[in-house]
Amino acid sequence: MNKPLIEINELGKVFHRDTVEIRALDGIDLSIHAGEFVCLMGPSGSGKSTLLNIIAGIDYATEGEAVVLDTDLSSLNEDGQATWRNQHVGFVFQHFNLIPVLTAFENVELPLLLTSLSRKERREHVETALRVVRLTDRMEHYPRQLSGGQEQRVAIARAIVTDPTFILADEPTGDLDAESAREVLEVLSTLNSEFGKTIIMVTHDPRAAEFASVTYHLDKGLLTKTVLNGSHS
Amino acid sequence: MKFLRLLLKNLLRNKRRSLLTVSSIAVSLFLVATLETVLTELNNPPETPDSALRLITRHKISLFNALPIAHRDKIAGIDGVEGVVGSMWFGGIYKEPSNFFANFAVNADGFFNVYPDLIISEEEKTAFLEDRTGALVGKSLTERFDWKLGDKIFLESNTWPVEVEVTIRGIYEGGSDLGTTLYLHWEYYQEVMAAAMGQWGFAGTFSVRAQSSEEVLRIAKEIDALFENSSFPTKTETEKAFLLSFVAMLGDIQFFITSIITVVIFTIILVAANTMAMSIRERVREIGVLKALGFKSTQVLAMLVGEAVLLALAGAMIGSLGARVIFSALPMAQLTSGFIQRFYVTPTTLLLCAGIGLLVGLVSAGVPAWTAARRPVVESLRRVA
Ligand SMILES: Nc1ncnc2c1ncn2[C@@H]1O[C@H](COP(=O)(O)OP(=O)(O)OP(=O)(O)O)[C@@H](O)[C@H]1O
Ligand SMILES: [Mg+2]
Repeated sequence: MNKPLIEINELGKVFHRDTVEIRALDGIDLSIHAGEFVCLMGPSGSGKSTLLNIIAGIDYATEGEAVVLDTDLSSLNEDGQATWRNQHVGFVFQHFNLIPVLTAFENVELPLLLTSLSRKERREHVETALRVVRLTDRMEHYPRQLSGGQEQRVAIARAIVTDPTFILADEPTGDLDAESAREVLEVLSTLNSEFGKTIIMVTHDPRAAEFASVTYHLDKGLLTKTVLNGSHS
Repeated sequence: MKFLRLLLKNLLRNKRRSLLTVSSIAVSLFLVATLETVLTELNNPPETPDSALRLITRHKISLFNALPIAHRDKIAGIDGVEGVVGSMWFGGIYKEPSNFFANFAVNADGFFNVYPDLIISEEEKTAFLEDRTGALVGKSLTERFDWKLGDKIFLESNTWPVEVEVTIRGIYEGGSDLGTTLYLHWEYYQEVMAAAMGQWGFAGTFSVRAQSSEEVLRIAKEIDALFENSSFPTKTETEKAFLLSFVAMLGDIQFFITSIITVVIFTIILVAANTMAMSIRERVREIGVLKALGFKSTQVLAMLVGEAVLLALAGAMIGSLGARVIFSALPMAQLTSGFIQRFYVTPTTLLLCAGIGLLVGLVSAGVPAWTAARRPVVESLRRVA
């Protein structure tokens, strides 16, 4: 088997709140390969978001290491991490997190503002991304003019517009009705199967997990169970 | 530049709040521009090439001590002196005290030699010179009181126990007082004063015109040396220095104005800081999103501070340019009875206001923007909108 995209060894995370120590992650060992659609499940407070955030380079481990794309994230400084995220990570959040004063087009364009692409190239990339999520007709709309499902698809377009190495989604269907949730999951699935994007998704929803190739279960910060989904293995 | 759009859209996010902030900054900087212009004008009396040639001789002790008119001929005898006229504050009141304007009794002969910068026709000059009870009035004054040539003006002095009736014989424009003064013959004044007080023969100041600007300082020294040991010693200075000594007499007005300006700046910084703090607090989560997408803390900081600077600069420009437009349209000399003859908001003042705008923007956004930009991404994202 080729080298994994993400390698997590003996990873632990302890939060300190006042005098109390909260152990969010404990001795996690995990390898994720390019092209996988990974699902992280577990009860509330089990450490799913924390693990995702560490992989994304917006939080750090207190024990062990997370080597992502051959880079030990803790070795990068803050600005280095920011640039690294811009190049390699596409984020999808539970609450969409679009900027309300920007149109769908402008929201998707945001991460491209940090690249050296010309205005014209940026436009092309944004249009392509919006085409993938089937929202080219909503380009000039503001977030408040879109449905929740459409907002989340714009957020997905924003996540893929830089052509990142992997997409990280924290409960992307958490705020959506069943119909919109299915649409969003289908888009993610397409990105994985047709465009070969590696996806790591946190979810509570067993139906969402069906789209994944592999599901990891977390409980109280411990990795408890691995399920390989038949359709992909 | 590609971030400018984002910046502008963020500014228009809460239009009413942005508008209120810009307005309060604009009003404050209108005030600053006005006060600053008062300072500038006080410290820069209007100057013409002719006024640079003029010296004013007054009593060494103070302006309120008079000098004998006999000094005039002695000064005229000094080498390089083109002309000398004695001048006395008459303090004439026209109808009511609120009609205040400057009026002086002057030696009419030689007056136009010393004040060639007054614009007036030859006929009117002659008419004034030939009528002992004639008066020469500035154009602004005639507009203010609706006067014309030949009008008889009754003036009751509030300085001397006398009154005069003069006939307008000439109307001038220009000069360093910009046409806000009335001149009557010193000889006529002398006559009514002598009638009221027995003996008289004094002038408050002498205006001396030098033949060339190189000689101005030498002449000033010679005049003062000439009278040094007399019972009426003098102090001679350039017209500009003389006018500035009035400003010094206004005492701590400069300190007073500077203090007000400082307080105003401090206040708008607080107002703007409050706005920026609110606007940033509402956006903590969005700032977290931007950073998650790859924006660096410094880029976020620059954007937030940029917003504040843009707001403050807009306010500063509106306020100070507004002051410039308004004051150039208003007849300030008339409105202030000649106390303010010129009220021009200079480019330096505009620049100062822009500088204040920049400062207000930087300082007001500085702390909240820095805090928000530095906050770890996970913490910002956790914030509920
Ligand atoms: N900044 C923090 N300070 C202190 N404790 C924290 C912090 N972030 C997370 N935790 C704790 O770490 C544990 C794991 O949190 P995490 O957000 O990863 O859970 P989760 O599995 O994503 O839960 P949920 O399904 O509710 O989103 C929880 O007990 C949480 O209270
Ligand atoms: Mg979570």
